[in-house]
Amino acid sequence: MKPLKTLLGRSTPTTATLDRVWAGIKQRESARRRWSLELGLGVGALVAAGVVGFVVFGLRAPVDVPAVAVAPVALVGDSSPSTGVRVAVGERAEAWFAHGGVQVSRGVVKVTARVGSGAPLEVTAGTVRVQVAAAVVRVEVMEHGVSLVVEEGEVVVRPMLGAAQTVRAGASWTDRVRDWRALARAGELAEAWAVLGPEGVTAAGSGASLEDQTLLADIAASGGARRQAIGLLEHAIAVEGTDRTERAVAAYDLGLRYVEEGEPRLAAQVFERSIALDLPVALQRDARARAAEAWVRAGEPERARRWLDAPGP
Amino acid sequence: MGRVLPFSVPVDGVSPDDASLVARALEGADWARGALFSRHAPAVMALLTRLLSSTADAEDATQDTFIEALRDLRHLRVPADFPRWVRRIAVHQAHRRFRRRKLLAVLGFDGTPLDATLDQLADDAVGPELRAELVLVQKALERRPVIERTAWVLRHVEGFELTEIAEALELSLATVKRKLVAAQDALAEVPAPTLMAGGPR
Repeated sequence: MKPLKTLLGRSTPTTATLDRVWAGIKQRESARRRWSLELGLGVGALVAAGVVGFVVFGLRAPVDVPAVAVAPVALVGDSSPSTGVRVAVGERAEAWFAHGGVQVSRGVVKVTARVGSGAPLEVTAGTVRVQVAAAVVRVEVMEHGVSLVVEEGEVVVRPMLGAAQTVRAGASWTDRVRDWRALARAGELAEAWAVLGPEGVTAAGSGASLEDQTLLADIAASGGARRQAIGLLEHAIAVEGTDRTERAVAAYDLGLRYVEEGEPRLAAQVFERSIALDLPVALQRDARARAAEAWVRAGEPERARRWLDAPGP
Repeated sequence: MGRVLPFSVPVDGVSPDDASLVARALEGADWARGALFSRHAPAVMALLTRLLSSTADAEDATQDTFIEALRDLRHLRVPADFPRWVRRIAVHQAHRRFRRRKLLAVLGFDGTPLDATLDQLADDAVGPELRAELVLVQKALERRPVIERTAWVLRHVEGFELTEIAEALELSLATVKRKLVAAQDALAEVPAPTLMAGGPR
């Protein structure tokens, strides 16, 4: 039996129609890029301020200094003689200073901390925290894990799951736990859930960035821990001062979770909140429709009408 | 305004396959994104037109489908699966619009004008009797629940395999079979002997 579409030749779109659709896509993407550019300029200004602050105050002042390097770069060196810390960032690595420590999200970073007095420098690399004092260590964040090689001295390694341990010069150590972020970003939520479990999600969610909290919510939801997912998203959107668009997307996600939980009133409220924040244009129309649908389900069609009548992109 | 639709850019005189285009698009090559659109948008838009029976909705849904697909390319685990993946997104987009239509109907708003029903989409060569059958089938389909209707269209209009339908609708194979049986039972009442017998040979 031939599919009926063989009879329906008039469903093939014309070139003019496809031109129009593509132009619409480019227009919407361009709007999104404009937003990104504005965000980038804002971040750039913060970055410039951060660099100046870092040079002046050294690592003792917890300032954010981005170091997305395209070639090996000495970030600190002699600019911080009081701590004697040097961080060399490998090609295509991403690392930055935050909260008085070093965060590594990708690639190879070599940390040299010559002075042993005072609190150790904490290097957060993927799922692992490494405390470095009077040591030289090379840390690599790979797609699915973290490894480190201690060249001098010793470091204390605290994996997110499992006990802390000391790694001495000449030894190497590899995190056997796969990087849940990489898994989640690759869409392998079930595997990420298998890595973390409910306790791991709770541990990772504590003090996590907004992006991580939304990833963790996806992971928890995939594992059937819907209330945990909702808790993470509720917390994520409650934190003032974080990026409005990221919060808007988190609110949109939360609305979807409330719908799944049969909570249409709460869903409608957070869909509205997502719209009030800076929800990306591509999601706005959908959020409006969902807000309207949720208000209908909550027994308030008049409030639904507001969203159906509202002009939008 | 000049032409904006991009064309596939040959690499060394050979048109790149989907996997290569996805890889290049992920590296930021705008031409590769355009080439993916040029290559797959006609089929996706035709599918959405047949599913939604509305050219305006189909146009809108095609735009949303490719925005989502091109934005989320990094989530595509097997680049060569792009066509199947984008069709799945398209079916999701169609469902969103069905949901919206239902909501508008609940609120008493006029329905979306259906200007691309099966009979309206038929080739000129389709005779009046078969065209009349298409009208009846279309009306019968419009009375069926969305999932049943979509499953039937994907199976009998589009020629999807059962596993593809299950994947696109995110249902189990057994559920898809049940939905198809239910739709087929309802359509069996329709006096459309040629179409119900499997269409023109």
